[in-house]
Amino acid sequence: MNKIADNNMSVPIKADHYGTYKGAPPSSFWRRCLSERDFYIKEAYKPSFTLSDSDKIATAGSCFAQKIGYELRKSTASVLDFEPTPPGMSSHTAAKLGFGLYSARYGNIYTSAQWLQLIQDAFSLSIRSDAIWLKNDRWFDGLRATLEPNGFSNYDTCVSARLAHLFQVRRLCVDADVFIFTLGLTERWQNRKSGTVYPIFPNSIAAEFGSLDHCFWNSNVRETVEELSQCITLLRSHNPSLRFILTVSPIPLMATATGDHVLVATSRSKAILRAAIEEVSCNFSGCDYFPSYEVITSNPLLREAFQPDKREVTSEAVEAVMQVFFHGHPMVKRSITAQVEQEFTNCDELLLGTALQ
Amino acid sequence: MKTLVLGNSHVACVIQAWRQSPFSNGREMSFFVKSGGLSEFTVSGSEISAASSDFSSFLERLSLPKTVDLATFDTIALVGSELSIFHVVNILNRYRVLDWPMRQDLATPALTEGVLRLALSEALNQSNGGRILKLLRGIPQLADKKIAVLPQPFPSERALGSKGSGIGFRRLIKHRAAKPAAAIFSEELFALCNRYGAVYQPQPRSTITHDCLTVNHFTEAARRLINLEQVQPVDDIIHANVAYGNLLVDQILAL
Repeated sequence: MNKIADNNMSVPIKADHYGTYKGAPPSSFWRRCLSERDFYIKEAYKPSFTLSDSDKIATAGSCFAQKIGYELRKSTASVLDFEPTPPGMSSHTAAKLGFGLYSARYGNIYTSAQWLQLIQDAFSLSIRSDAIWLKNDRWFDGLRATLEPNGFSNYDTCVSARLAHLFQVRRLCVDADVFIFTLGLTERWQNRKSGTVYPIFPNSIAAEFGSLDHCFWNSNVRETVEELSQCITLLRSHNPSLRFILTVSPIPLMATATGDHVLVATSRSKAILRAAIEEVSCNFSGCDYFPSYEVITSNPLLREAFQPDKREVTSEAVEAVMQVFFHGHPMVKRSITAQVEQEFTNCDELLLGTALQ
Repeated sequence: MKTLVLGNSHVACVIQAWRQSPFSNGREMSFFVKSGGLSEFTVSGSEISAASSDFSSFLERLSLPKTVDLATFDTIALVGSELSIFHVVNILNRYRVLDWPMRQDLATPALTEGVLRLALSEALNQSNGGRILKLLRGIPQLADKKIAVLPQPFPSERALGSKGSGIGFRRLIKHRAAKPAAAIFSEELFALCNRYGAVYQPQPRSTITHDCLTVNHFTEAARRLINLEQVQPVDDIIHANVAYGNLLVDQILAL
């Protein structure tokens, strides 16, 4: 996608700003794409900056971000990990406990609000007391409750663990050259009094974590743009040269709390995220959109993009996405330089499909 | 009573002690060992055999058989074989443990003891020793045999004076984490042994100093398994000597 300088979405676009269709590349035409074996899909990503092996990359986001991170770790890219898997731990256990999934042990970050909250907390080293929960005499960090399944023996240890994590997130944000963030959805649960955003419906983790103070919120384009803009501004206030690659997860919602059909809710969420990223990437230089969503959901020539559950993407689809990504970043090679263990993913959202039905 | 000792370079002190021992009291002890850990072998029924020319000639140099029938022994003792406190130190080189009496510096990532235990448990299970234990327990002919585990000794207290190797252990001691580190190593190895119905024989208390090191008397002039006439290099801090080997022989004979 070519960026248009100073694009203002509210101003009608004049044809002569763009010239005619004659000079447009073949990939701008549906029929020509369709006649091409790969739909010219690699042309779908024209980043404004290219990654090099020395760029320190941070990854975060929804479950699909784990797949991008996994593929990047198999390449020559320098993917940061400030809370790495303890030596000796199996990759299966590591994934369950949130190690090796992202650049720190924050677990899945599905929404822009959750990302903003994490960054704010990291730079202020703030503890949200309304996200520390008690169950059977064990204390849980409600912002990543599934990553310490047995909880903590006391409140102070829970707070210490959270502070330790936030400090590593802060180091990550300051050290990274590029942040790759995959947005998953717009639906969120938050505390109606404090505004604390939870990663998932708290009751889906344990009934004891539910509270009448928790409320549902479904953000719109304006809110999402605002949150993403605040993320970028805050991060750049500490790390001015930080660049961003924003993506939208192609994985449908596991469940919606809107009461709508899950298909409609999914489409709404993804459309909002896609529109918000478009606006943000136009407003901030060094901030690109990577079309993983389109490669998987809209490419008519990509067969079997989803597994039999019609939700999880196939390895072939991930491969198609990564081919487009690496085509846009030719300096990063896919040769395996580091030992990467078998991939295991950890998706909290699956709890909505099991705990609540 | 016949005992077979399996293991890696840490068996050198046991072989040396056994061969010097004037009193066998009718006990027989045989060895199936390889520097760097048992590998390149095959198991057929209850027979274990060297499967490479390197391994075969290694055993030959030590005047040991290339094939042994495990079922003909009353006891099998597994020595060293990566069952080591080094797994704990590898983790603590990168992490601090919340609630431990160690320096709680925010710059160092933190783990709970529960997560540390999980990582250690899996590391031990995946170690050379862990895999051999699993293999032994999978051989039906050994179902009623006693299997014992004697871990790799803690590194020598010479690590305290060394500038290079042993920095992780020096840090453990300095940060007062040696005691809990040694405790969880012992507990997790005990749990691993339990899982495979093996007897855990911990490092003899009299050989331990600073909670995670071996008294120098038991580590100076340790011999090399590849050549029992040869002393380990001066900077080696991980192997024990014949004095330590004598204590292990006592532990094995007491099984």
